[in-house]
Amino acid sequence: MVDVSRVQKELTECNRDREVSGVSIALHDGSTISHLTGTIAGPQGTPYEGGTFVIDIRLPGGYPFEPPKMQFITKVWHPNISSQNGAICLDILKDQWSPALTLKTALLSLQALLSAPAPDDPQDAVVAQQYLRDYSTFSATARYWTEAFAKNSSTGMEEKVQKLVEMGFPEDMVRSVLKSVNGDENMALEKLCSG
Amino acid sequence: MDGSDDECCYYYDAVDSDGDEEEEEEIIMLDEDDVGLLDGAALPPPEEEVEHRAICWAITKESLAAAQEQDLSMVMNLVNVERHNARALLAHHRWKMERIYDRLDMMGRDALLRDAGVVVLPEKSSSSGSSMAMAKTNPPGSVAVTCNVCFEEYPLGSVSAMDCGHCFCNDCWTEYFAAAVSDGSKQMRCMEVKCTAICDEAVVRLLLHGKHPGAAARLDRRLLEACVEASDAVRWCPSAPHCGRAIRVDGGGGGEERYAEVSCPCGAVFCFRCGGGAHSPCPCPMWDKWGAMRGGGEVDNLKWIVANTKSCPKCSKPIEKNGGCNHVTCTCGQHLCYACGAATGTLYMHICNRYKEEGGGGGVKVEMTAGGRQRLRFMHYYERFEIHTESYKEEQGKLGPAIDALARRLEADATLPWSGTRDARWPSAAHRRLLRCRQVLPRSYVLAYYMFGGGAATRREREEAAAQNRFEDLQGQLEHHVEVLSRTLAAAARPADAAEVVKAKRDADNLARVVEGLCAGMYRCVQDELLPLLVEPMNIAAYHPDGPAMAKEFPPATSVTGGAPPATRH
Repeated sequence: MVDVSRVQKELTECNRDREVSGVSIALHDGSTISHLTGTIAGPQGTPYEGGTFVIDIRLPGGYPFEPPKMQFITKVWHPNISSQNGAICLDILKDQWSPALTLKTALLSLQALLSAPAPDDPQDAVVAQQYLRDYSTFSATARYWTEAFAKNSSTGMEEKVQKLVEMGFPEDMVRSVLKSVNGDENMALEKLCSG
Repeated sequence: MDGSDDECCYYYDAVDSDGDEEEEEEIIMLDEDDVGLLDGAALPPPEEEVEHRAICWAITKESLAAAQEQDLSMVMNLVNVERHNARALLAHHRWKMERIYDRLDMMGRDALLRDAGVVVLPEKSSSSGSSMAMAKTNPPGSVAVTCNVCFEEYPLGSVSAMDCGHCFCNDCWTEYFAAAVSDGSKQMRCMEVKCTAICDEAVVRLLLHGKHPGAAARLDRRLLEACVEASDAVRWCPSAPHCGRAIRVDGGGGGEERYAEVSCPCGAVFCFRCGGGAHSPCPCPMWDKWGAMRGGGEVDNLKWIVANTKSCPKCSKPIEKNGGCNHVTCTCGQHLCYACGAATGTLYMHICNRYKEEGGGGGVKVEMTAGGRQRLRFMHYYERFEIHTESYKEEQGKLGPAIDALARRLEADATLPWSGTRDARWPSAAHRRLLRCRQVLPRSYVLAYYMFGGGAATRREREEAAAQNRFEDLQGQLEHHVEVLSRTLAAAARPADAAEVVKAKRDADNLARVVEGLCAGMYRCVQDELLPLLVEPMNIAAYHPDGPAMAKEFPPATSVTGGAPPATRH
């Protein structure tokens, strides 16, 4: 049902300039093209800077004539992203979707959403309230969540291996890649995504 | 380069000139009073109609399609746009041609199109075809196009471009259209991000028919029906199974016609505003809440309570008995006899087999609480509603044939004096008046149930009391005279001698006039005195002695060809 040819082209196109754009996509479990995992880098100059955010991507049968379903796996403190389940409030993932949009443009839009929240149309009311009334606390909390959940440099090797294996990568490959990058989980993820 | 610019300017002037000519033509057509089928503007009524009342038309699917075609052609010529953009304009203005005329005069063509979200590029009108438009989007000498949805390359013959110039392969257009039809779309917009241009109907239909003929058929039906759903003046007949007609109501413009009651040629009689069965003088919201005709309304709930429960003599809560014992205990602690509802002691030393009139030598009356009063109040209104509804059925089903037989007997009886008595029309006319009033009476009790003490929010209590008194006086008189008329007609239907027939005719004629006057008075009282008291405004259909307006079959249009001005219909 999913247009396999288009998705394969999208994966190639997206990962070609991964270093510059800060977004990448990989197959989730290596067996089907309708379940993918995306990553976006936290934009500079925002509380999310330095973080790597993992996004679950599921393509409905009607893709690209139906929008992809995207959800943050990494916990993130943001008015338009649920702090509980990672659900995203973004118009191009709903009624404003167009078949001419791609997974890459959708991920870039998520990156832009991190830079410019829209608290008047919130997904998470608690975060939106804080953003509007107590911006400094919001900013500090968002930065803390980025440090705690989006960087992971302080966690143990086994936890990193487990996280990467849960994303669908083979365990032995995960271990060798982590070793080669001295335990930096983000760099390991990037290497694994590049294949 | 300069020469090319001059050429463009020349074409632009030509377009303006064409527009002026079209405008002049349309003005001439306006003078001829030619209006579209879907307009709310009035057509001249038939000559026999002397009353000021809504004129109703019954429109078949075929007439609807032809009329829609005419409206589309008029707009295409008037504004100089293609079919799909004409449809968008009509939809934006709810298929009211006069609004498009007004807006065109006030705003001009470009603003009119922009206001409706229609994207028309100036170059489009000067190009000879879609191939030229597509040529502009490709580098010179290119023989292939890359589709930005599937990222494949296609020859020019396998891609399509819309007014906006955005170009995609036909396979992707087809899947996009099929998905849009599934979502309920009527007019598709371009696939490009943020592009709002409307897709050419011919292209949509051509591509869909090839791979998704079911979706193409659904889209055609949806486009046809869209003008009915968008128009305030047209609605579908609610008959089931559907007779296929839409009903249009033309009025004087005061809005009164929106509350008309309509009879479709298929026999369905309904309220134009809410689509339910005719229910005046009861307003739509009250009738809907009562819900007697469809089930599940308040009347069903209360009927069940009344039929299956007793109320506690102490606290008046409804009590349902389970099991055979009639000695029942309420949650408030009171014991009672379920058979007669009277209070008893814990040992149940109670006998009630003898029937007693209320207020007889019995014991002290228990003070009734709100729940009990509500039950009695409901029963008062519901019983009369039910009685008059049943009487209507009897008078229609049994008295009707007897009246017909009487009319035939009068025509055939040569012994009767000629002076009016042998005219066979008076029994049927009186019977129709009886049925009409018998229909009105149950609805008046529904109105009263909600209007007086039923929780309806009103202003000015003193005015309400006076209006209620007038309404109930009219209702009581109407009820009385309807019963006399019913008895008179029933007696007249039996074999009788000439003198009795003459008397029956005189009485029936007089009573018919009386009940009609009372009925009209009650409608005026409701519309002018009762309903204005409500905080939430309501309206009812205006009173007409003959009941709902009969919708006439709309004459099928003679021409369905596009481009030519439609012929005047008179």
